[in-house]
Amino acid sequence: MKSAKEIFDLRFFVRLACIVVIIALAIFLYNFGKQRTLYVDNWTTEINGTSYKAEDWAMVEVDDLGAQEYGQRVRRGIPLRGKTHTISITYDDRSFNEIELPVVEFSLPYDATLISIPGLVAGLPVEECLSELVVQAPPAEEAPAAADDGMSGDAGFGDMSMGF
Amino acid sequence: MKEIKSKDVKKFLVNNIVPIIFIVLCAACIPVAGYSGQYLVDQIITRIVRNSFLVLSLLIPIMAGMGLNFGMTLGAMAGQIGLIFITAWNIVSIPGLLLAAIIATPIAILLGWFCGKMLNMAKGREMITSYMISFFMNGVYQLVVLYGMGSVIPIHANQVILPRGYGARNTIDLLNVRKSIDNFWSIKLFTDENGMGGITIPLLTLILIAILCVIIIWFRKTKIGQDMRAVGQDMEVAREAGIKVERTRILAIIISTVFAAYGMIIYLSNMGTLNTYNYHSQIGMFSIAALLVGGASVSKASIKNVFLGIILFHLMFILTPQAGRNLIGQAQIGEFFRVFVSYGVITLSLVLYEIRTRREKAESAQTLALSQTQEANA
Repeated sequence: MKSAKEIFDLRFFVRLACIVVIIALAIFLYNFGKQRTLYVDNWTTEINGTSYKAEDWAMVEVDDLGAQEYGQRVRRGIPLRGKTHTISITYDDRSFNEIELPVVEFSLPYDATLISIPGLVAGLPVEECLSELVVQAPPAEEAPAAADDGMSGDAGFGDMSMGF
Repeated sequence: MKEIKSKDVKKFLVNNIVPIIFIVLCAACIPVAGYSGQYLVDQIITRIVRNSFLVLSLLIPIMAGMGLNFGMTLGAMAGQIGLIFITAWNIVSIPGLLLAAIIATPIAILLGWFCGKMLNMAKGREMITSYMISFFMNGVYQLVVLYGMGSVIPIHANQVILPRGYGARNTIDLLNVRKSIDNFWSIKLFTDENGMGGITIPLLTLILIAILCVIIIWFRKTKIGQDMRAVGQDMEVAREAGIKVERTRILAIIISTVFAAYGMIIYLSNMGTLNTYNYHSQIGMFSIAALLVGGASVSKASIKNVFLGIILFHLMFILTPQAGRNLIGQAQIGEFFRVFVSYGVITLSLVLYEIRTRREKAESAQTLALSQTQEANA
């Protein structure tokens, strides 16, 4: 029977430290590598019971990925890595004056997040302009056959003519 | 002198019969297929990058005298599970692959430990046992992936889970990580004016493979590496020398399984698509066949066998469909041919190994009998 001193020796703590470092690395990689999609949306929208009309024209830049023009009823998805991002919007008011909104920082709460340009232009807090976009599931696929016994057909070797 | 030379040539031919057959077949197929040299080199580099890690993972169990590790399939399953998770979580590029490797490692260690334990109970029948273990674990894998994911394991991503709410899809797109290692640092040679064609050399992947080769060479010189070689030569002598034989053998299988998991991640990231229920069982067979084509045997394999095997085996894969089409107008004949070749080469190697072992035993028995007769006469 090993004593507690024998179990909790230097080797034990080195191993424990290695495991902790690997778990920390995994958490870091998860946060650093996670890709979410931000859908920049210029549709007429309703937020908290109030309707906000789509802008005729807007120039939107997310992070430093390059500015893009948005007309009415335009929605584009931008894949983003990391959680915190910035958005800058320039739009034309009714007198065709170009107005640049201050850069807004926001974090993505969902994997597919929709951000409303009309809401931001109306001066709403960015959190109120974010909503989840429910993406439709890909077309249905038949369930794979249950595990075979490896003896049927090609004796479990699979299709050996695949593109290796 | 002449007799010695002809004996040497015969010995060389017998020892290298498999690579020689492949070299002859490839040499015959190259002009028939009609591919350009540049295309063939590009394809072979792609195959080396894709498969080397997997084939290299087979070396350590051979060193420990455990033969061809058909249980590498278990490592491949672990790698696939890692990739399924990162695809469901949408972790992209190299961080995604690293996370997949981190997820796969404990699973591969656990499966390798289990496989090693089983193989210790079936000493002398390691290959068939590991082959059966891979079938058995394939059932467990299918149970987990087909029924566990989505119902017990909380994965709900549409791109991974079937519309019914549980079970992974037959095919999972790995676009998020596709060629991330290969494209991270690569160079293109011999491109045309438009920058098209040419030979792509993915330097980072080649560096990773080179590092694994160095690790294997270094490992052979370490205490545990020497122990494995001693166990591989004679278990009883190794045990007498104070080596923990069972522990060493389990370690060899664990290392092989973990490397196979990493190899599978590299392989699938290069392919860009995951065939959830098939790839792992196919990859074991193909890797073993490639190693044997390179001139390795059940008891002896080296890094040069790995690369020669991949080049010859995959050259055959590239050439035969086109050669079949050009010869008789059907690419399918080439497909049949390479399937036949894959299984045939494994059978041939196993038979040759058995013949060689019997011959060596007979020779040593003859020598012993001769020396005993001489002693008795004296």
